[in-house]
Amino acid sequence: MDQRAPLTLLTDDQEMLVTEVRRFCDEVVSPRVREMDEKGQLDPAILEHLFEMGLMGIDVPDEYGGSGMGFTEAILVIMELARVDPSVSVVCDVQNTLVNNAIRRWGTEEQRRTWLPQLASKIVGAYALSEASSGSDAFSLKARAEKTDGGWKITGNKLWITNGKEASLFLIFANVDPSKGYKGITCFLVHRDDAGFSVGKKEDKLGIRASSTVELVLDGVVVPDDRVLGEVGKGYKVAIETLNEGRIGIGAQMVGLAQGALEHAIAWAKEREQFGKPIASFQAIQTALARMDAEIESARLAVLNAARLKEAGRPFVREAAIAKWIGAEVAERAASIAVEIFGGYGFTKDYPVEKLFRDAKIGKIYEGTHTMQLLTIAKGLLA
Amino acid sequence: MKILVAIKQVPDKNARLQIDESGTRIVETDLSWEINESDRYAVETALRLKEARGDGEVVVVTLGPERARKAISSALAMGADRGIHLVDPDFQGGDPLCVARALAAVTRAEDAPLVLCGTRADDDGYGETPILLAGLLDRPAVFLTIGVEPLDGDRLRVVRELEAARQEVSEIPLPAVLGIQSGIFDVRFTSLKGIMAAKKKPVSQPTPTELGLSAEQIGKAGRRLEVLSLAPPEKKGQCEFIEGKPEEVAATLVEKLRREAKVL
Ligand SMILES: Cc1cc2nc3c(=O)[nH]c(=O)nc-3n(C[C@H](O)[C@H](O)[C@H](O)COP(=O)(O)OP(=O)(O)OC[C@H]3O[C@@H](n4cnc5c(N)ncnc54)[C@H](O)[C@@H]3O)c2cc1C
Repeated sequence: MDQRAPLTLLTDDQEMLVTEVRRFCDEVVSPRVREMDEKGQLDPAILEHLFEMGLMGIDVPDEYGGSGMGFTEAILVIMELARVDPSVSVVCDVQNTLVNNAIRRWGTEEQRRTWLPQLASKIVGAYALSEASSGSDAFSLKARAEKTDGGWKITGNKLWITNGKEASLFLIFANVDPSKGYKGITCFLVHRDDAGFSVGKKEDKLGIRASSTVELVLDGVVVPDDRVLGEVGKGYKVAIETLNEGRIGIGAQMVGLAQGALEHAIAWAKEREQFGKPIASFQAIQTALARMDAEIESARLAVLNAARLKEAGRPFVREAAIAKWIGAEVAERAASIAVEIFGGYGFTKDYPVEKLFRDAKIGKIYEGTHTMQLLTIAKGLLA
Repeated sequence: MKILVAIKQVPDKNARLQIDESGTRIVETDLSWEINESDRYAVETALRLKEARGDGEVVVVTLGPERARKAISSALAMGADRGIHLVDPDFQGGDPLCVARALAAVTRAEDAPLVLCGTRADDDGYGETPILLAGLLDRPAVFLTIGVEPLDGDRLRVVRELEAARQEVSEIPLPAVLGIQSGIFDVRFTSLKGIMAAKKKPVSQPTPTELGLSAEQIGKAGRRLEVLSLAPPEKKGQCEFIEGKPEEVAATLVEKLRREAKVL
């Protein structure tokens, strides 16, 4: 794409992609949103479609069985999915921006050939960095890996792992030598069937309830040497750099969510009458909608620009943090105002904005809290 | 077997249409476009036939300006093999008979035993093109088709939807023309690989001369049907809300249907 074209102007391929994802959302996702939220479970039919359409390997190159599109296309898909269900969106987001991305970037040719075709077509991946005692301070993680003959033995617990219930492949971060601090952190590819590995408790959450968040237990899981992703002791780099890209994805998820809230609010404002007129005729409602739109547009531009910088091979740490920060701000506000525009109806589960309001909160927590994004931005400013 | 699918690009179903100053056409600037709905089902039917037989070629043809190229790309992304775009200015602006003549010429040039069309276009709604096409080609035709199955010896088993929840099953020999009804099954979701593959598929742009057509047979020059005016329907009728407990509402409604509407 011409690097100087307007950010919101889509190529023909992107337009076709967005149209089709939107049709998928309307026909397949939308009718299932409420039940999935209530049960706290992803409908397997949705996962099947995600694979069939190629949405689980969007920017995995053709030669590795992927869809052969780019990062911006992944971002557009994450945004569209979130418009209808932010839970489905994050399933796709973690697969594309974290798992596939890390394997492509840091994997050996053999690892890519082994894992990417499976990830693009049939297996779900998860990214396991956080633990009960290490969140923002991720590198203080306690999971340990000890060298064995021809491999590694991993012991520890991971918490809050998205996609954990459905996943077959887990990127596990563990320290091989705590005396070296973060320079001991190493990334391992662990399979669900590896002996000693098990999935623990599933969290009962406020929002994005259809996306599973689980604890992982690694009780002396032994993996061969070819399951180390990247270099031994360089796992911190894998973690940081993948999360930078991941943040653009979360920004996209939040922009999509906000857009969904705005669209629901507009439809309601035109339909709902009070004092003998549609509430959309009141200027207070109009300015609320306009403000949502203006905020969403600015967040969308931040997200798309960060994606474009990444694709252009330029530095984008600041822009990714900004994209996630502003996306989360805007989503929370848009969803909240949408609830108010719906009035009492908005406060019930019979209307979609109540769920979006709950879903929005996660944008300020995962892949680095809201404060952590600001600290990342500030670090650059003061360097 | 080669299957030719005639598709039309129409304004997006949700688009807000405006009528231009001439009062005979809709304003096209800033509209978004899509493949006509029943034409999408025709493409899906063709792909399923090809898959069921394990061989064949699905060729999509569209008559329309430059923008209609996107409709071809969408069909190619769904899985069609090749596209034909009748984009030459001489093709544009005709009535259904002009379009049917152009499609008949393409069918002959392609020597396609089976032509699938959607039942009717969502924009101008003529629903004539496939019928005229079958006539020009002197082929048997089945419309309102909701199911097609290939049989041995170049015959097809075709199911038609009739009124009052009845279905008619018939058998027709090829060559033939079928008009496909929308809503008959799920149209596949286009995969991302499909979108990428579409870019490499050939799309030809034959001229009228290459198809053996003269200017008077097609497009504006061949048009005999003239649109005089286009306008939104006048809003008549009114809506009344009946309030109260369900039993009261029901009683009032029955009363009104009997006294005012006189339908009971
Ligand atoms: C639904 C969900 C899904 C998740 N998915 C994954 C996943 O797939 N993989 C994964 O590895 N993790 C995942 N996480 C974990 C997530 O990334 C962490 O929750 C997050 O990084 C915050 O860590 P914490 O919960 O330990 O909070 P803490 O780090 O304890 O933070 C608590 C508060 O203290 C603030 N704080 C902390 N340090 C500072 C500081 N230095 N200065 C100022 N303020 C500070 C924080 O901003 C926050 O407000 C997920 C979490 C949730 C809830």
